[in-house]
Amino acid sequence: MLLKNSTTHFGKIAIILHWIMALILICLLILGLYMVRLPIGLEKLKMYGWHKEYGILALMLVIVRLTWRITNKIPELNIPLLEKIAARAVHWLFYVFMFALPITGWFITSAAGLPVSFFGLFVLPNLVSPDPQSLALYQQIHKWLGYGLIATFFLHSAAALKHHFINKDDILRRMLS
Amino acid sequence: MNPMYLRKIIFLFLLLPLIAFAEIPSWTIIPNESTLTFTATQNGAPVTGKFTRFSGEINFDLAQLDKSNVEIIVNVGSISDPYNELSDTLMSSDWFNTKIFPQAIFQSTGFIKTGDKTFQAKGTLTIRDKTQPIVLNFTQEEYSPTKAKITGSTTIKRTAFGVGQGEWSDTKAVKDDVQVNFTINATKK
Repeated sequence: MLLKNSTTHFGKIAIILHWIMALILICLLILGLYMVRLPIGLEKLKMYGWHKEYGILALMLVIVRLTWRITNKIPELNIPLLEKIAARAVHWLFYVFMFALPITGWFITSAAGLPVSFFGLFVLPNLVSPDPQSLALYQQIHKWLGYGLIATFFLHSAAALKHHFINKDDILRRMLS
Repeated sequence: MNPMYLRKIIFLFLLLPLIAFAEIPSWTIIPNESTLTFTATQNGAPVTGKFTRFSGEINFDLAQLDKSNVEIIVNVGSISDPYNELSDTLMSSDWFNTKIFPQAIFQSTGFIKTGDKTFQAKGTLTIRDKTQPIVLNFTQEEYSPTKAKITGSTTIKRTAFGVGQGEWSDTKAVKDDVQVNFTINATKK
């Protein structure tokens, strides 16, 4: 396997970035849905801390991933045009979520006056000054983006599984090796 | 005894009441121009809040530090921060327990001049039912016969006052050290 993509295959870097981000985003979604329902306590505070720092890690990774994506060729999708448009639209939708979720999260922590420490290495600056009203707005946007990501995730996974088990093509396999 | 000395001694004795009764000026805090904030550390990052209501008995004279005394009473229930859920938590029984302990009190026991315009106030701080000695460092920003402005700070250990009971006594997620900053503008009574 090559590091870079070819016209028929994904390279090692693209595959690793895809799966690392998939893992982080799934964990962040589960953690996010769980932590907001917890009563105020030490456990909730710690989970918010993890959600924030891994969220920022995801933002850093998506910058790397987008850079890699636009500087690399993309393996061709040999499927009907409409399906191809749908697939590509979902891929770009993922990028929208991957940027919008951590950025709105960062707005939430800024508006709440509870900044993020990135694994104890540095503290992120506040994007906006603390304000309870805008906080509620950012929380709503973040929540609905999260639901949007979940819906997109199921769409994307269902399509990949359909190609593998029904069409029996190499679309899922080429993201594995 | 040399009569000259005697006359000097008598003269000094006559002055004594003036020194003994020299009045220490009293000051009134201007609430809108005074602030009391704290910065704690949660998950490795700072979080700041403030107490919007506090009052005090300030009898202070730069020239008579040894006779100066200050008592500041903080209405703990006036705690405020941008995230309402946080202030509500801090007022609860595990933290300040404002229903049982509505006031925090600083009482000075002595002042020291540490620099040209810098001072130290030694005293005690009472939060909840715990009283601990503390030292405040402050700077005189403005000092006229009628108006004074000081800014200062101190760092306290929250667990020494029982602020953060039970699981919250863990100091990893919320650090023990809390910085307290204040600005006081006051006019002479």
